[in-house]
Amino acid sequence: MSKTVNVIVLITLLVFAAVVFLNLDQNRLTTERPDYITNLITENGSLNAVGAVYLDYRFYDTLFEVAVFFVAAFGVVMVLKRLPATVSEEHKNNIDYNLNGEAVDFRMKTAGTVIFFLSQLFAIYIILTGHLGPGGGFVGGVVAGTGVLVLSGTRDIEGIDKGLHDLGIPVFEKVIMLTLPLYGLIGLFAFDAALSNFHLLELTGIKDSRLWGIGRGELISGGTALFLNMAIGIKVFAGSWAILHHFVKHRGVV
Amino acid sequence: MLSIVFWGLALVVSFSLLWTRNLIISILLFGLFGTMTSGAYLLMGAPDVSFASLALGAGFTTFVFIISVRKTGKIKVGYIKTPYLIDRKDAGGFTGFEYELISEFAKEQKLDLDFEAITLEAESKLKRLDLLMGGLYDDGTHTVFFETWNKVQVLETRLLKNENGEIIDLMRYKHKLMQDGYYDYEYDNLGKSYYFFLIEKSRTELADSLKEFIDRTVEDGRFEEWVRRNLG
Repeated sequence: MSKTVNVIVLITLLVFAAVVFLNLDQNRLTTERPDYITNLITENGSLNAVGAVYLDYRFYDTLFEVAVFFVAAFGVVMVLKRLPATVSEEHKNNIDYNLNGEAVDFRMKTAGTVIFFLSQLFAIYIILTGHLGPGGGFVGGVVAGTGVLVLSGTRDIEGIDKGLHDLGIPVFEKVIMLTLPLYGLIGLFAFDAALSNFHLLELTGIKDSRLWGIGRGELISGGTALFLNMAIGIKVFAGSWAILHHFVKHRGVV
Repeated sequence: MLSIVFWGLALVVSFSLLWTRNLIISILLFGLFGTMTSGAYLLMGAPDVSFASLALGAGFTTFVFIISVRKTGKIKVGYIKTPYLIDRKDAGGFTGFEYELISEFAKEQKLDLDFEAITLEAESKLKRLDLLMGGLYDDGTHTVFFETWNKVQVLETRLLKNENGEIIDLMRYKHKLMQDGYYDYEYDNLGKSYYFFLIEKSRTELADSLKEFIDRTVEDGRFEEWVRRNLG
């Protein structure tokens, strides 16, 4: 089932790539060289110029970067699934023992929990403010995924994974992978280029942007940067967690 | 300009990475390398790249590498039961000098050991093993192993020869003496020899680190302690 969905996602990406490729001559990226600095200020509105470039003018790169990560996670999970799990049956579901059946020191448990919460907070912060400062979805997702791993030395890893499944993270992962190409197609048909950002100020015609809280430097700025960062963040989080979870499950805790 | 300091440190770390033989240390150095490049990027005015370098290079990949190395390090050990050197305990598990040495080595290198009883006569079976141990001495009969595999000298011993031309080493001789309480033959002293660990010919790095480990334990006195505890 999940395999079929993965294949569907990959096919969608390929079809999308073909569509965009066939439309390349309509694409402003190849026909002219826009002045990014001016465009940034007048139409995109992100404070983080790098973020504006990779989420708007060069989103094509970002999309396939995310796709590469998706394929990598898919591959790791497929290979490691065949290996026998190293779960110790003796102390299963006992939070005083880790996956290898080793007793967990209470100091490590406390430190692990604290580091986990700090890392999640940091990840959420850099995902949400990716268009205002350094950071963004990709880094935030990796930080969040690695932060969950810290828990795996001190807690029942299957419980963590089940919790994430209940939150619907794997479903989100697939939905996002399908949504991003569709988002790109909206740009192709509704605006001037594939994967173009929705330039909110231009679209809404709002003059006093400060009033609406969508101007430069506000949380909602840079068009759809917030949505894209969140989508990429969840996607990368799911991918990095899938990789780490399968490594830990089949090869043992550090 | 300050970024040059970080690049310099990154260069130092990468060179030390080339010369480390311990996998865990090289992984940690790799994480350090990620941190150094991250600092350099930050000072060069690229905080986005710096974040990515820190999260991926120093965090994520380090974890993945450490987890994968943990169980890759499994060595298959073939042993010949020898009193005082490696012997089965009644309660299960092993005892003996060579066993203590190799298990301490494995602990330090984060290796798992897989023991299997062998005889040197079944040569083809031994091809898939990484290490042979258990009072192995070179009496000139098993040249296949002693000439092609990596030899690591473990302990000094003596070889003895009886009237029938059978060669026996000091440990087995001592054991025989303790059990039987008498000499069945006259033994001639053939002189000084060594017990060896034999390591599969392609795994020179394992042989080198084992040699280095033995030298180190001789220096810090642990070797002496194992000898005293097991051989008296």
